[in-house]
This record gives sequence, C-alpha cells and structure tokens, in this order.
Amino acid sequence: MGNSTHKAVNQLDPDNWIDNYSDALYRFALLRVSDVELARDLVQDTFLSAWKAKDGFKGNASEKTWLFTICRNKIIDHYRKAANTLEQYGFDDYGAEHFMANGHWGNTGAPADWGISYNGQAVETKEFYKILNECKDRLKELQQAVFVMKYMDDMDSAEICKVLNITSSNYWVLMHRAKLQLRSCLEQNWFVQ
Amino acid sequence: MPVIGNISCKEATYLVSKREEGKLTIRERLKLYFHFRICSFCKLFARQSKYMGQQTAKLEEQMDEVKMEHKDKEQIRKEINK
Repeated sequence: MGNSTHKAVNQLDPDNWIDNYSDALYRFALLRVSDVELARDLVQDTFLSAWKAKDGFKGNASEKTWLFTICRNKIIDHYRKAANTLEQYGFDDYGAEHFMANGHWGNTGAPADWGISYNGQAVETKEFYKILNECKDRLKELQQAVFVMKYMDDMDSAEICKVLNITSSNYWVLMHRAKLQLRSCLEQNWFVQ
Repeated sequence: MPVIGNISCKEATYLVSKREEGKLTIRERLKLYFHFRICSFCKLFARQSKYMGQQTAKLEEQMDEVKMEHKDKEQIRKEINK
C-alpha cells in the first residue's frame, strides 16, 4: 500500500472493466442503436480496442470517460455507415400519413392535447420512458441517429451534419420526420389511448 | 413562397425544429409567427416537440434497468483474454 498515493489519478483497471462498465456501456449503446446484438458487439469492440490501446492511456481523462469515448466513436462510425446509404428525401417526399395533400393536418393526424403541462419535469412512472424508448426504436435508422444525437447527446445540428457528413436540409428533413412519427407514436400509445 | 403567413402545417412543423435551435431566418420566423396565430395544432406540436426532447434527455437515467446479460459478459471476458 506504500505507493497508493501514486494511484490517485486516472489509472486503468482492465481486470475490472467488465464488472464496472459493461452494463452502463451496454445501456449507452443500446439506447443509441436499438439493436441488442449490435449493442453487444459495440461493447465488446469497445473493450477490445481499449485493451489494445491501454498502454497508450495518458491518464488525461478518467477511465470511465475514456471507455465511453471509445464506445461513442464506434456508435458514430455505425451511424456514418448508415448515412452513406441515406435515401434522399426532399421536403415533398414524405408526410402523407400526417398531412393532407395541401400540407395541412388531416382529420386523424392533427396533434391532440396530451393533458399535461409540458413543463419538462420527469414523468413519475417509468412505463412512460419504456414507451418513449419503443417509439424512438421504431424510427428509421438515421432519423433515430439525428434525434438521439440532438436530444440525448446534446449536439447541435452543425455538429451532427459534420459527423454524419449530411447537408443541413437532409438534417432538418430527418428531424422533422423523426418528430412527426415519434409524436404520433407517443400520442397513440401513451397519451390518448 | 410569395405570401408571408400562408404556409402549410407541414412547413410550419418543419420550421419548429429549426426554431428550437435558433436557426430560423427572419422571414421564416415571421411565417411561423403568423401561422401560429391561426393554427393551434401547430402551436401544440411545438410544445410537444420541445417536451419530447426534454424527456428524451432523461431516457438514459430512467432506463437504468437495462443490463447486459451475464452470458454476454462472460463471452466478452473470453474474447478479451484470448
């Protein structure tokens, strides 16, 4: 125990990585890619990459931050691959399930009052978050990617466009489609049943 | 788009996300302002959109029951120790 003072900052403890971080990394990945197998693979790749790179660890960040950064980069790589095969949707190419031909809300698509105060406080029942997560999981891959980066990772549109190498009009269309679908899914499955 | 204010609900809801990020041009801001005055649905959409973002930000801490299966952890342990 004599040199324990030297261990004070940012060292790695690879033998305990799986016990200490696999659940949190798995949750981090699963909420961002919505695919159990892929999330598991991403966590495994994270540990393998970290293991290989561990001798180069400088200790500038905490072990936890370092591992999450590795995982996050792998998730972004995955998104980027999806972005390469992005179908080009223009503003005129979507929305028929929500809007009439003239672009106004139809009889069934228009937002209903959710009977809440919209104040952004946490909802007391966890069931709500399960439904929210399921609705998010139903979003097409890139719609989900932009939505997640914006609202879970707190990135702005410019950063997201850069990371995914997409144009800003691609971005706003993806975000619009994501929100239309998520809103209607939440409304049908939670607020107005 | 000749007339300010005369936009569709589809365009208005598209602009809602840009507004949340402060990315509207002055022209777009006016269009949305006038649209909101005549369309309570799109105003509601904007509140719900913001609300969904706020709740999504809490998703990770709320989903804390999500855990990796034991067998998967063991599998990874084997891979690492190869």
